[in-house]
This record gives sequence, C-alpha cells and structure tokens, in this order.
Amino acid sequence: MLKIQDHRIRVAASRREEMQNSLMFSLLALASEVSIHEIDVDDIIKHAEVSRGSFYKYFPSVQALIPALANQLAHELTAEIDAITHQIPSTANRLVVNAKLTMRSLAKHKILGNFLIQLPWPTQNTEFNVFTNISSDIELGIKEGLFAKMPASIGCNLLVGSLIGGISVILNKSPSTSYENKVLYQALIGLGLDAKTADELLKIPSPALPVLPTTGLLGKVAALDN
Amino acid sequence: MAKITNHLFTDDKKRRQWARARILSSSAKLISTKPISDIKVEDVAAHSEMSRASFYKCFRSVEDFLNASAKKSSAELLKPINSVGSTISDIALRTATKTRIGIRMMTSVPLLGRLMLKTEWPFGDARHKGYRDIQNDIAAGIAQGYFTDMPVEIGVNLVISALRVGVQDALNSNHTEGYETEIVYTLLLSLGVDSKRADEISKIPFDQLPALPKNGLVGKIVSLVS
Repeated sequence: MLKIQDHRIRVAASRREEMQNSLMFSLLALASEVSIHEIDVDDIIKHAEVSRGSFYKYFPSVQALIPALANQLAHELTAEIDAITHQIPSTANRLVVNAKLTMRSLAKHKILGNFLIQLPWPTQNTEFNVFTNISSDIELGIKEGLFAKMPASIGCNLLVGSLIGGISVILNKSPSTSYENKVLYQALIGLGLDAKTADELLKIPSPALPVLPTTGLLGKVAALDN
Repeated sequence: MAKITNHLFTDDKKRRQWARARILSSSAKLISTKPISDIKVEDVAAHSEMSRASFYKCFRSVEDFLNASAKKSSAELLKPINSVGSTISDIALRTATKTRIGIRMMTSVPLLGRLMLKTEWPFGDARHKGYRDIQNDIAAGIAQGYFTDMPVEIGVNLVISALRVGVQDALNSNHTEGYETEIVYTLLLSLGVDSKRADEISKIPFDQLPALPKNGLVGKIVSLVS
C-alpha cells in the first residue's frame, strides 16, 4: 500500500524555500543599486514585502543573508556553465571558455555581476565561489605542466582578480568588445603561456551562453530579464 | 553684511565629522579585542564611547565602518611605500618593489593585514590615492614599453590582485620561503614583462623595508601589538 504522506509537510517545506528565495532575491536586486554593506533589514523586508518576523525566522542578519545568496548563486551558475564546458578535453581551452562564459554571464545579467563583484575576495571560503571551475582548471594546468610551476593560489587569484576587476569595468564603463580578451590575455601570460599560445587560445570561438533555467534563483533573474 | 547662517546646521556637520573621526580612531583598539568578523555595532559604540545612534549617523553598517578604517590605514601606508618607490626609475622594478613593500608592511602586523582585506574592491573608491598611484605607475610602464599595451585598469587590477593574494596567503601561512618572489614574478609576467627580466627583478634581494608610520591609525595598531 502506498504510504500516506501528510501533504502539509510538503507544502510547508516548499513555502519555506520560496520565502528564503524571495529574501535572497531582494538582496540581489538591492545590491545593484547600493553597496551590499549599506543594505539593512528594513530595505530587504520592504522590497520582499514580508514582515520583519519572516526575515528573522530564516536569517539572523543581512550579514548572514549575503553568504547564503552567494552560495546559492555560485551553485546554480557553475552548474549551468559546467554543463557546457565539461566536455572540452583540453585544460587550457576549457579554462578560457569557462572564464569567458562566466564573465559574459555576469555582464549580461547585470544584477548577478553587480552582486558577485562585491563579495569579499580573496577568501578562504570556497563555498560561495563562482570561480571554482576556473580554479580547479588552473590547478590541473599547473600539474600538467601547461602553466608555469607556481603555488596554485597565486595563479588562481591573479586570474580571478582580473576577472572580478574586468567584470566591474565591463558593467560600469562598457568598454569595447575586445576588452574581455585583453583581460584574459594578461592573465594567461601571467600563468606562463607564451604570447602566441595565449592569442591562439583566445581566438577559438566559444560556445553560446547558457540559457538561464526557469527554476531557483536564476529563474527569478531570468524572469526579470524578460 | 555677512549672510546669517543657522549655526545649528554648521554645528551639526562639524559634530558629525568629529564623531566620525572619534569612531574611526577607536577602531585600532577594537579590532585587537576580537576577530574582525565578530564585531558588532554595540562593540564599536562601546569602544568609542558613542551611542548607537551616533554610529549610524556616520556609518551605514559595521562593514562600512571597517571599510573606512581600512581605507584610512592604507592611505597612511602610501607615504613610506612611495618614499622607496620614487627612488626607482625602472618602472617594472618599481612596481615589483612597491608591491613587495605593500605585502610586507600589511603582513608584518597581522591585524593590519586583516583590516586591509576589508577594503572594498573593485566596487570601492577609484579616487583613493593608492589606486591612483598604481594607475600612474602602470600608465608610465605602458608608455615606456615595459608593459603590454593594455587598458590601464587591467594592469591596476593585476597589481591589486597580487597584493591581496599576498596578504591573504601570508596571513593564513600558506607562505613558504620565496612566496613573495613567486607572486612578484607572476605579476610581472602578467603585465607583459618577459620571463628573463621578470626572473631577474623578482630575485633581487630586498632589504629596504621602510618603517611603519608611528602615528595615525596604523601607528595605533602597531603600538597595540608591540
């Protein structure tokens, strides 16, 4: 016999998730307008149109909401990009495509970019890192001898720092379309590639941007774009 | 006849500046009492002997306050850094040396380094003098052919990334002998200096560490730990 499940448990769980998502989404939306450190609980509950009690039921403070949102976004976005890039066999090429797609996604969906570039960096906390795919490719590349032998942290952070800085410039100053390649070129020669190899890698056309899913936080972002 | 202004307004403004200065100068002692991430508004208020309301008149949040303290201390480090930097005419060597001094100074007192990592970047203030200094060096390096011909911000981001990684890794003691040499080498490569010259510069023995400032916020932090 089919086990009878109390539907109330299921409904309550999905409501809780919906409430958390909507609080996170409010923070994301507000972060595009002001610095994340200037946002307080009042701003969030006003934007989300919920009571103060609902906020504090899930998060003790805005400071606690920031990593929760970062974690969720990083998780959803890396999954989308990884689905496209995981089948590229060459480490260097995969690294470049991962970096390009990340940069472009964050520049296209400004709301994502504006939030993610404000996160503390560099950080020991790898959980809310949208750049985990990139970091692991650099570690692999150093092991394979593609890149100069160096502590992986230096290579990863120099590239990630360039990406964060690059995204910030793209969002705020709309530079020419070759800007992305210029950022990556400097980072690649920093990893020890010679100029010719770096140029060739950057010339390989990259696949189309992932289409945002309809569910989760990215679903809300996608709905906003339409 | 002189225009009559309401003294209440000018007093209010002066008082706010005075309160801001007072809260900022109490930050040295405060960050030595507990981990930076655990600091609450109540702690700041108690240490500066100001009310919560006064705090919120000057700063939006604890993060905002920490960012202001970090900016103030980094501005204080510029003088000693430039006193050595301005004596070096080779721009590649100058950039390398200044980066090194920056990392060393910030990590010689771990408290100072942890505070520095609180500086907002790249969302932060591009008018900060430290930022402009790096900008000038990179622009001169590009003009004189030391560095790749690239948009200046890309170079600035690379230098800032190297600084932040250096400080972060030294504080978390993933720090081996020669770590700084590797950071400087990678930084120079990424700026477009050829590997032979980058190797030479990064291996030049380094012994010109200027003294940390004795006054200001940095002076207070130093005196607390020594």
